[in-house]
Amino acid sequence: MRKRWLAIGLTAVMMTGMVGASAQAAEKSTDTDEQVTLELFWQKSNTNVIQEIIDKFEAENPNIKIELTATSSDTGKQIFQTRMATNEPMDLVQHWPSQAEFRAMCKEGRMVDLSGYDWTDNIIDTYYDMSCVDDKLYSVPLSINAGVVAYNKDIFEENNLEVPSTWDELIKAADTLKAADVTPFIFSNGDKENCSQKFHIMTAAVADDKWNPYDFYVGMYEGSGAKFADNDYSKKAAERLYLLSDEYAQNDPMSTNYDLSMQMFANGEGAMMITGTWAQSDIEKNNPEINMGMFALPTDDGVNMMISGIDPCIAAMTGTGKEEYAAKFLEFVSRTENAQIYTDYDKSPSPIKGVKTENPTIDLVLGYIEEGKAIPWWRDYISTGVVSDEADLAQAFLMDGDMDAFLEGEEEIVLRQED
Amino acid sequence: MRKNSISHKRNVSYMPVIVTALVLYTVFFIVPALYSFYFSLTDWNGYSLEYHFVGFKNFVKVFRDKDLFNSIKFTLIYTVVVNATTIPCSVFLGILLTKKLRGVNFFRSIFFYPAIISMLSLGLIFNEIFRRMLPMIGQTLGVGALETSLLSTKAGAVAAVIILGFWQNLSIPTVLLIAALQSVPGELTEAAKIDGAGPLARFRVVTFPYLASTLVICLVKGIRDALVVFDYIISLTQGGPAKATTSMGYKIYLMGSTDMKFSQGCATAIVLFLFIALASFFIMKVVGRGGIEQQ
Repeated sequence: MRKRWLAIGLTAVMMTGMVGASAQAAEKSTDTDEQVTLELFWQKSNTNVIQEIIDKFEAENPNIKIELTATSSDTGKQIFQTRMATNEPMDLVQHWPSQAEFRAMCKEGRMVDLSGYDWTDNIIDTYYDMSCVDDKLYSVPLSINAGVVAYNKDIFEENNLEVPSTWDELIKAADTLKAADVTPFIFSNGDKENCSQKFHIMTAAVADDKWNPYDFYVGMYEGSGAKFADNDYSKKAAERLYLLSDEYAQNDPMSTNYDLSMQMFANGEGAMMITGTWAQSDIEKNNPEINMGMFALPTDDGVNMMISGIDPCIAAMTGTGKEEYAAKFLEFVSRTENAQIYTDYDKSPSPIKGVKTENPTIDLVLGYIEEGKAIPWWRDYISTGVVSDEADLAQAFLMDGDMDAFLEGEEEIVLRQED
Repeated sequence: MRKNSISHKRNVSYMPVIVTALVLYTVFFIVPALYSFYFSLTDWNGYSLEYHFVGFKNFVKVFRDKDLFNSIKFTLIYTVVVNATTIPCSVFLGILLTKKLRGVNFFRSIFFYPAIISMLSLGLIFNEIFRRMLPMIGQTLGVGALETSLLSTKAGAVAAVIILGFWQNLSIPTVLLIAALQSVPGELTEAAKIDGAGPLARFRVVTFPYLASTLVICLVKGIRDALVVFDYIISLTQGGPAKATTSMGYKIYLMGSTDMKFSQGCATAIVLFLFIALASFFIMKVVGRGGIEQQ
């Protein structure tokens, strides 16, 4: 294992070394006629839309050429890691501002600080703040996601159900479905990351004007001294999540992973699913004809908070000598008309002012985003080394329902400091 | 004298081959191994340009980690069960497949087939089998035991990983043992038969000594492969449910990639390496004794 790992690493180091050398050679030759070539490292699969934006940018800036290095997100992570470790920066990099490694690189000064540029005003304030690391802006957000409930409109109609607006209505709807022999919720407990994700969504869905999970958990991490034991909201979130998984999920949810849950929902094997807005494309891939919608998970008196975050972003890296040109591209991307191109493809809500999202599936969700009821995925703002531990903990909880062990474990994870 | 110079000449002509292999091995295995030891003494997170020496702090952490015991336990159970089942089964299969049967080559390739599929794809295929196919069969036929997937309980998931491990790891030892079995001189078996030795006695006295060195290879390879099991885990169970199948290999991977604890991952890898080295040494000393040296 270890040997194979390092061999791959070393090969990658050598390969990037070669790429770096050839890139430097290319740079020298372009200096004379003031042509600049920038590398954009792209980890998502939607390369056609970014290429369209690049083409438009190149038409406006004939002296700047942008070369797209496209990888799928699995290998992208390794390539990013190798290039960070060997100091071979890319001029522009697409990443996720919620990811620990990206935030660590921002903290180390490897990404260009964009706070001083006027054009960053075009980012909606909430998402500007979410993009910040230590109060400085290092990236331009491209689209946003939210933790929601996906529902099958046809099944709702057949059972004369309306979109529930309170927790009691949600349970009533689930009871009706259960009585009609329809699986109310599809859970993907076989995927441990999905388990903790659902808990995070639920913590936002129990929030009210006195409490919200971001302030509470991040506050705890930063030393507020608060305790899980004194806190009814955490307990309520865990109880409600377990209730849905235990009472209203399909048979044997522990055997269902993310991909399978998408197939099942797409085939109408269940009426609802707690997930993120990103699931829409995965569901539609399995069944393009599906008549689905998404709503925010309500608490006792309606929807107070919805968990939301930035999906991909683009950042410029330091140490390339071409930071100014890279920033020019970021300015271009942050313009409303160009952000609209991205949103038209992506169908997710946009963090850029004035962009319209034409996507009936998330109509019910968009309102809350516009009203500013979105709070960030709080786990991204606590210690970095907890991701897999928290996922394991949440999965164990959904398996055995041991509330005390779960809350104690969560407390330990939230309080854990980097060492 | 004359003999010596010939063998000396022969050795010289082998040198370029050996040196090339040695250089490649050093560059791709020894240097990275030393490098990983170096990083295990630092606090490097896998991304940063700066890091500090922290001495043996990471090794202390490895042994303080409360999940480490869990990982070692699973890895050991997997290693013992998989090897204790595959090796005897492959001896048995090997004997069957060296008999003069019709279509024996067909069967040999069938049994070798699992070895040529990538472990990651195997994990994905078995994912479908365990998560979808078996429960569906269980529900249709009303077999209660099959209705819930093996992967949804801790013990079941361990069993599922072992089943997959057994299925894939059977092939290589079988092929190696077929080769070894073919080297058993027919006249020895004949002689033993004439002396009145039964099949079991013939196997113990005549066949086994010829298999011993191959068995050592199979065991060392089997144990090494099992101790570093990783690919099935990532595609079949992700170490779950609730950490039940988090092997040492998968744990190291998580530390190096998701959790930004590269140096601690290196330290864990070194502990695992020492483990494998000790186990291999022990097997070669104990099992390797008493076999016939073959060329």
